[in-house]
Amino acid sequence: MNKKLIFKYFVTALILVIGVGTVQGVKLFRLKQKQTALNGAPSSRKAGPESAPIRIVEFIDYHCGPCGRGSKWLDDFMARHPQKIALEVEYFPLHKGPSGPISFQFAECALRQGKFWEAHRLIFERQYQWVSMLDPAPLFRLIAQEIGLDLNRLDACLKDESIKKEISRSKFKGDALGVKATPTYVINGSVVVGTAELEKKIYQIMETR
Amino acid sequence: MKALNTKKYIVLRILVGVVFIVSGLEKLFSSTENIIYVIQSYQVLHHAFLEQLAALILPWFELFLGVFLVLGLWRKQSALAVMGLSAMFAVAVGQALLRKLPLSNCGCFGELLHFPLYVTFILDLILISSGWVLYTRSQDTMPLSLDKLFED
Repeated sequence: MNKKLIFKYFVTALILVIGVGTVQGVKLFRLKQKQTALNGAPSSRKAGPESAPIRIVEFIDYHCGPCGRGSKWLDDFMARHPQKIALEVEYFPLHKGPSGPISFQFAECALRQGKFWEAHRLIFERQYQWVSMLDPAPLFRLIAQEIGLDLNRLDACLKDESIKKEISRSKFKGDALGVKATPTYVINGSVVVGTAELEKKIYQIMETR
Repeated sequence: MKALNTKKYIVLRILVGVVFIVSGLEKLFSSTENIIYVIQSYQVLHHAFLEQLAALILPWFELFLGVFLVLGLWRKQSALAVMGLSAMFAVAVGQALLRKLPLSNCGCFGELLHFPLYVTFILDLILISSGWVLYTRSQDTMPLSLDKLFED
């Protein structure tokens, strides 16, 4: 093997090492950012005991069908195993249409009246009704009445800028974690995308415990 | 005229390289699960281990292929790899189009760029052709390359 070829292999190896090192360094830096984001202000969209062995952060878009199915599956699972899961819901709006933000605003306003989970379930249950509407506000008003929200407080809340900020803060958490699609679940620290993977991961954890 | 011709091929080499670098980096900085999700939606591998392996290897392969093209290192081999990889993508996208799989975008550039499947298929064909041009005209892509340093 001539010297030039050996030098070529050496340069190739050097490029590979520098490339891997740079990418891994940036990834490590972003991981630190992620951890900071997750250690930020906790959300109140939580269910299940704090001491539960399976901790899930669920990133959802109310427009997304699989998010609804995943949420229902988690609901059923938590009903069967009430001590196993500590769940936290985070908003990850991806839908850009006119009906995009209202579902999140409505859920967050329901939270301020202590009815987040009732609103959350009904938004998903009635998804097939409102998801194609240009203005789903009247339908959300009906849900509000059904779960007993104070409508005057709700109207004021929907105009509140801090609600939009809270939704952005929640989305930022997902961005920092590298969430790109919904539903994404962070299960005991590892990221899982889609409902099939969610079920698989939870059963895996259950089997090992 | 010859200089202009040569420049054309160098620009093509660098351009194709940049495409692969961007695609590789976007995948590397996204979580592996997102890539697995994209691979699963093409429904070709049908095996969790293969899907995970592809999600781990593919981004690095794309990145270094792009880097080698931009730097002009292993030009001929890189051009062959461009053809091979793009052909593989074209087959995956083509079968998704034929089977009418519900993919709204290719996932090839993560969230950075969204292309419908038929556009991705055309882009893959362009990349295969570019790979072929870079392979057959590899002598014209020699200037501004590291390979030139190692020439006998």
